[in-house]
Amino acid sequence: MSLEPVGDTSVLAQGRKDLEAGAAGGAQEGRAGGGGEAGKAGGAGEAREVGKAGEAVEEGEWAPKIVGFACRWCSYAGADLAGTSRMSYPATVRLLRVPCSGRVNPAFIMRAFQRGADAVLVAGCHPGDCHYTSGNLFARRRLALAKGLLEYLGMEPERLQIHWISAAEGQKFARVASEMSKAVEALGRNRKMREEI
Amino acid sequence: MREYTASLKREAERLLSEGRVKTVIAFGPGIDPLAPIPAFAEDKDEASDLLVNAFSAPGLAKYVLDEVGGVEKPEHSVAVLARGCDSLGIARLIADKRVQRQSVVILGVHCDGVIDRGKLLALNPAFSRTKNIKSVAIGEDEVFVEAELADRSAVSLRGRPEDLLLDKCLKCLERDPVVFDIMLEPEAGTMLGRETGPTPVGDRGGVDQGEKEKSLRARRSLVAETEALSSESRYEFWARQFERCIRCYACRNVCPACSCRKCAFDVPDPEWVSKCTWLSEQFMFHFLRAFHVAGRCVGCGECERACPMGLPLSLLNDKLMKDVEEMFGIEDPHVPKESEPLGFYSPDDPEPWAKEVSEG
Repeated sequence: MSLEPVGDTSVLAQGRKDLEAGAAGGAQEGRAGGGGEAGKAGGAGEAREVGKAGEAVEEGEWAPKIVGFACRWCSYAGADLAGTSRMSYPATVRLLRVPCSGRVNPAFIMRAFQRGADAVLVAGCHPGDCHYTSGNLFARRRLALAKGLLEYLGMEPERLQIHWISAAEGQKFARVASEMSKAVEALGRNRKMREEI
Repeated sequence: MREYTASLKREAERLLSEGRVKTVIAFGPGIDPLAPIPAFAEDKDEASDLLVNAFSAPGLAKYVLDEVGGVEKPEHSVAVLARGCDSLGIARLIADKRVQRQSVVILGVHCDGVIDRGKLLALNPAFSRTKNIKSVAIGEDEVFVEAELADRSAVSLRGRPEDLLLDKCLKCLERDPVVFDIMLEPEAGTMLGRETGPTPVGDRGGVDQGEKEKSLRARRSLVAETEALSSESRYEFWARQFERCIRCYACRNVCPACSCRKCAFDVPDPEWVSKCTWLSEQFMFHFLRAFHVAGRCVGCGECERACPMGLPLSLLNDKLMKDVEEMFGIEDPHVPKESEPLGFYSPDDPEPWAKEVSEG
């Protein structure tokens, strides 16, 4: 697959189709990826007004969309543990499995926001526990700068979160997911840096 | 900037006639005497047209890459005129292994700043009606420009050079080259340059650091002002700036740290940034451009100078430079080093997000 960490083309195409059918938002709330949202909202000027008006209608059903990048060795297994242990956490986090938190190019994060994510979670092994020895240590430096720059450009700090979650920390994953979901719910929809089609 | 033209010509002629270099990169007369253009001398005749003066605005570092990038034969060596900012850029290209140290002869000059043509001409509104500059005289503490209007009447203006410097010169980090082979002498052609042999990057002897501290403080306070705004105002501020971007990529093309053979903005697949100029793409582009030079930016300010829309790009670069220095404890983050800040790590690197995470 080329790029598109969020919403692969088929999901996006589906989102656009939904838009044409006038069914953006609500109906596909449960689907993974940012397709539905990205397909919504107007272009410039007056079209944006339409988006806002539409928002009021569906306000009651809105739930945050959180794109989560989870390292396959720790955090993805941690999320799996949360699931198999029957812990409940909000379905707002859409997980994408990456080989290592070091795989997360800051451009992925920007792209997620562009395509309609309300928040982005990057989860990896605890520093020192990386399967590849140092991937998360490089990631930590990179993400520290990227997060600083993103906030400098005006993004709220809560919208990009970085957590170290091990394979044994199902509980931590569930907690992070629900705390993050709550925080993003309080902030509301993200409109910043977002693509308007 | 003092007078170096005579010793520049002399050194250029010597290096070319000795066959030590193929090309000498410096400045030559443009159409407008207030805007000398980069010039490339390949023989003695062309060398006699070279010049450098207080109006020589463009940075020369990136031209070195065009001339010798990827070529390692000694006969392809170039000589290049380098002020502090140029030398930082050349050091960047060397550190990035895009240019071999031995294939470039650096002719260093001390520089106290370059005059901004726009600021100068704005002193007399009549100059907006003419492009016909007749004469320019730069004295120790005065610039005098004379021009002719369409009706053949003459207009003139006087200004103090120190009030008219380019914005990037007001934030200058290095007035003397950080790396050079030959330091040119300012005395109008009385002596040849003093040949020191190649110096290591960052060896600046007893250069006064006071001015640099002042520039650093100026940069820091601009960043701090922006940081002090709320998220909303910051977003609005940047949205207003980026909205004007025409995506000409001048900031990338001129940047000595942006020298990848294959640039993320040029490859069609993956299409990181589309050709659209709507706001979301502008944010993506400017985020990526700044981030791709994070920890490698030399603070030369060329991106901002080259920008036709006047975007405050240094404000982005300086933020990253400040973070690199504060978070990773890297001294003089603008001076290229063996390894770049994002190329290694420390087990105790800070986690600036830790305050938002409740552990338990």
